[in-house]
Amino acid sequence: MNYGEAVRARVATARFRGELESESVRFEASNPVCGDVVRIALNISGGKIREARWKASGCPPTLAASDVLAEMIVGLTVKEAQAIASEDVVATLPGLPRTSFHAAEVAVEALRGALQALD
Amino acid sequence: MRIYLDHNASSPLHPRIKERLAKLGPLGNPSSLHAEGRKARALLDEARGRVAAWAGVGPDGVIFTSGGTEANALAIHAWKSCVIAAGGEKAIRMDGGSHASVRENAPRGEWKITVGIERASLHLCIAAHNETGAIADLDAAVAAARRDGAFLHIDAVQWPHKMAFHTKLREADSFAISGHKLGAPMGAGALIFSRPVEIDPMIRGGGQESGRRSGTPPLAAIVGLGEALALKDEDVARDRWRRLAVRLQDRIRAVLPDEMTELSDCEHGLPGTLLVAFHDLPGDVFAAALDHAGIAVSYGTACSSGEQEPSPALLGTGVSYGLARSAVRFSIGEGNTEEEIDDAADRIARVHATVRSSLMGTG
Repeated sequence: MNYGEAVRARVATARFRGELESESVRFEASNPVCGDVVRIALNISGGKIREARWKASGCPPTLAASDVLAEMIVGLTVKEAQAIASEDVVATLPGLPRTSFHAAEVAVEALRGALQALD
Repeated sequence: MRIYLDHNASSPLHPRIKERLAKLGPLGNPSSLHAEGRKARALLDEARGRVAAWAGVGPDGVIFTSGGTEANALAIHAWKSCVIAAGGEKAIRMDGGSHASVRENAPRGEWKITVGIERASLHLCIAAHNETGAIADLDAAVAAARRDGAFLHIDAVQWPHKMAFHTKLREADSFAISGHKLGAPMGAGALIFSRPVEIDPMIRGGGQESGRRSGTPPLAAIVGLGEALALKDEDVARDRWRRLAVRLQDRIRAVLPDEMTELSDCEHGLPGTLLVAFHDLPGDVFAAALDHAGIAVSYGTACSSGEQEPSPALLGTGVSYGLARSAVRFSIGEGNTEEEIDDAADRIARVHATVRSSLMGTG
């Protein structure tokens, strides 16, 4: 499948991959249909997301969407991060095939799960 | 600089062929009677003669097709009709790792398809596996077909150039080749018969190819195919391709000794073919990342509807699901250099480290 250069670039560079040395919360979400899994870890202080890291198991779009999402949320307040939708992630991955939009959904689900777990 | 390591999928235009095509000038339709048409007809005849000479058959033993897929499909269609006409048992024996163009064109319904050693009236053999590079025992394939009194078709799409001509190809009832695997333009292949045979065409309408395959022939691609097969053995660097594949394998193994399983035998299999499973790394993920890093490779998985499935052709060879899921194929050919291979190995190691640290369960 042609995922588009934005997806390939994200998979190859993946700046926000990995683990955090100090994390406030982590959450793992999965897509029951395709089996993709995204785990996101956040370091939050003063109501703001200071750091974000992810690991995933899945197709290239899932890895790319996770990395895009992690980049998007660093520096946001928890409230601002809660407002992020999968469409926002898709918009930053030009060329992502419609059949791969599930990748953004599972990444955002992981983020929302993590933010809910803070409560 | 990009490094192209996907020659089994398609090999870039060979310089000699490019030069020949540049000199062709304007061409008419080979069926037209005017001067331009006659010139086109002469080129078509010349290409047919070259393919026939390479295969050691008469010119009427060559049917030009759009490529290897159509050649395989036409052969199966033709021999299926012959089996039915002869009142033979509707049974096909095919190799487990058959290409989709063979697997998916095999008849269904009342036809019995086996991948074992059961007797069958039509045998379908893949001469050289496009993914693993495994070379078939063509002597055994011909012997088995003779034992069964069966028709034998060989998918030889990966064979020319990478391997010297094998006379057993000619002892099959037919075999298929494809031009763009040999540095010719895409769009032309050939179904080659070892003896004159009347076949039931799949495509009717213009009577081209002696009524056996209608449609205006893609002349430039056909000329390229003829030119490719006219190259002498010494002009084809298959031994170098083999050495480069071994070099790449050695270099990857040196940096990732515990992270890989070789699924090909690049020292003895199809020259230039290296299939490696990188443990725990989905092949599509790794191939996408390598593409961004400037290396063109192939992977045997497809992601449709969110599911990644390993290549059926690879699974059919007996490779486990887990290894097939992680398999990436490097195929080396004309133009690749030692410097490229060393550069590719460095990039592979770098990209491997990045992708590995992105994945769950990989430490």
